[in-house]
Amino acid sequence: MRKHLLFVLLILLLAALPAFSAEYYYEKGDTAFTFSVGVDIPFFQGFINNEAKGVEFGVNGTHTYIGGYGALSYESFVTRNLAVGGEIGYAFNNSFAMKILTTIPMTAKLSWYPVQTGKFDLILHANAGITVIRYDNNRFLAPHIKLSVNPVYYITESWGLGLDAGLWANYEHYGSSASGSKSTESAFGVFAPLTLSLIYRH
Amino acid sequence: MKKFAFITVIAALLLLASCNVDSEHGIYYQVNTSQPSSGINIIQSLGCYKYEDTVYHVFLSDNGICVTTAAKGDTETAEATKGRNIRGAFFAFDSAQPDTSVLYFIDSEGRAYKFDPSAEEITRIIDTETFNGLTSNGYLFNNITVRLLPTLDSETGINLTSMPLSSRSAALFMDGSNTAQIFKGSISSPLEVTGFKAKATGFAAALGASTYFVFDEKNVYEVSDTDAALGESTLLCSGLEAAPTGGYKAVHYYDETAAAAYLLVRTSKGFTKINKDGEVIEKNVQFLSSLNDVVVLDMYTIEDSSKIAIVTYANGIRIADMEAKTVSDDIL
Repeated sequence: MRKHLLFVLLILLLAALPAFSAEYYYEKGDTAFTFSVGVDIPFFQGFINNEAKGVEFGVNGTHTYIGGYGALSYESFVTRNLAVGGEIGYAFNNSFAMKILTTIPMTAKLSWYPVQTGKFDLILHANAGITVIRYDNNRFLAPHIKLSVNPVYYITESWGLGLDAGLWANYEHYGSSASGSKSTESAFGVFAPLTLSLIYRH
Repeated sequence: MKKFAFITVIAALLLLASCNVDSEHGIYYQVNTSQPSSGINIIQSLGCYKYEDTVYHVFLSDNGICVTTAAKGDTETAEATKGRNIRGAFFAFDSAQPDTSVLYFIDSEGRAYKFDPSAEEITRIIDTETFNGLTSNGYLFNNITVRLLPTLDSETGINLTSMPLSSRSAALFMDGSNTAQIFKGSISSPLEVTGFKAKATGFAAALGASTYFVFDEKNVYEVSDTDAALGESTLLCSGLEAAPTGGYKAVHYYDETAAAAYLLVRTSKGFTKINKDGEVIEKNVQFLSSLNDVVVLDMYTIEDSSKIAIVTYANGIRIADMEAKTVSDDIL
C-alpha cells in the first residue's frame, strides 16, 4: 500500500513541474463524459471513539474483501484547466460473512488538468458529496469524499482510455445520544478504487 | 449540466428520506465484526474439556459429533457418527482422562446409542424404549421417564462415577404448559420447581454450591438444591427481557475472579451482568455487543479460567474473557 501512495505522490510531483506541462488543449465550455469500472480495495476502517478497535487496515483488518467499483460522471470546463460536474458511483464489497456492503456516492466533482497535450491528459479529481451505505438491510446516509489521479491517453480526438487510482472515504457518525452505545461505532470507511476509465470529450 | 445537478439533488433527497434506519449497530461496526462461515452448522453444544493444556470444544453438527480447538480450521468429525441423523447428544467427558470419555446420542427415530470414540464402536442402549430427546447434560427423556446417563452406565458396568458431574447434575425441562422443572441426580420422577409457570429460557448451575438459576422471560430466580429446601425459589432480579431469539441458554453462572462470581444474562438489550445478589452490574455489556444479534445456543466456562465459550446458533464459538473484557473471533 505504501508503494501505491508513493506512486501517487510521484505523479502529483511530476504534474506540478512546469517542464512536464504543455500548452492548454481545452477551451472553457468543453465537456467530458467518463465511465469508470474496476476494483474497490479495502484500505482501512477507523473507529474514532473506540480505542479497542481503533484503526484496522486491509482485508483482514476491515473484514471486507476486494470488490468492484463503477462510476459515471459529466463535467464542463469552467477555465482552460479546471472542470466541474457531478458523479454517481457504485461500490460493492463482500464482508467476511459474505454479505454485500454497498456504497452509492453522489458527488460534485472538481477536476484539474495540469497536463493536457491533446493526446495525453493527467487529471486530478476531487469529489465531495453524500453516499448511501447499505449492509444487511441497514442503510446510512453519510458524507463522502474522493481524491484520485487519472492519466488518460486519447485514441481518437474524442475518445480516451485512462487509469484512475485514488481513495474514497465515508464517515458514519453516531452522536452520544444515539441508541445504546453506538457512538463508539462511529467510523470512517476508506477504500482505494482502481478503475479503467473511458472518456468522451467534446 | 444544470439538469444533471438537479437530478442528482432530487435523487439524493429521495434517498435521504429512506435512509438512516435505526439499526442496533453501526454498519461499519457490523462489517468489521463479521465472520466467515465455517460451513459447519452447530446443532447442539456439548461443552469442553482440557487435555494437556489444550481446550477441546465438543458439539453436534449436522454432519456428526465434532471436536475443535481454538485453532481455526482444526475441527474433526467423529467418523462413526457421520451421516447417522443424530438428534441429540451427550458427551460424558472426563477432563482428567478424555481418552476414556463416552458419547451418547439419539437418532431421528429416538433410538439411544453409546459411542466409544477410542474403539470407534457404537452400541444401542435401552432396546425397549425410544426417546424424545437427550440433553447436553446427560438426561435422556421421553413422555414417561427421565434417565440420567451416568447412572445408567453404573448399571451397565461402566464406571463413570468419578466424572466431574457437579455442574451437570441437573437439567431444565419445559413441559407442554411451559412449566420449568428441574430433574436432579438419579431420580426417575420429575421434581417441579415451585412457582414457575412462565416460559423459562435459561438455566445455570452454580459451581460448588447447591443453587440453580433460572431465567424466565423477565426474571431470574435462585432455586435451592439442598435436601432441606429442594426446589424453593427466590426472585433474584426482575425487569429483564429475554431476547426473542435468545436460544436455550439465556443465563450463565461464572467466576470472574477467585473472589467474584456473576451471572451473565442474555436479554433483548444484549448481555446483562448481575451479581449473586441480583444487583445489575452492567446492562448491555459493551465488549460483548458484537454478539447481541446472534442466537446463543450455549454458554459454558472454560475450565479454571474467567473465560466463557459462547456458542452461537449455526456456526460459531467465541471465547469471551470476562476479566480481560475481550471477545475472540469465531474459532471454527
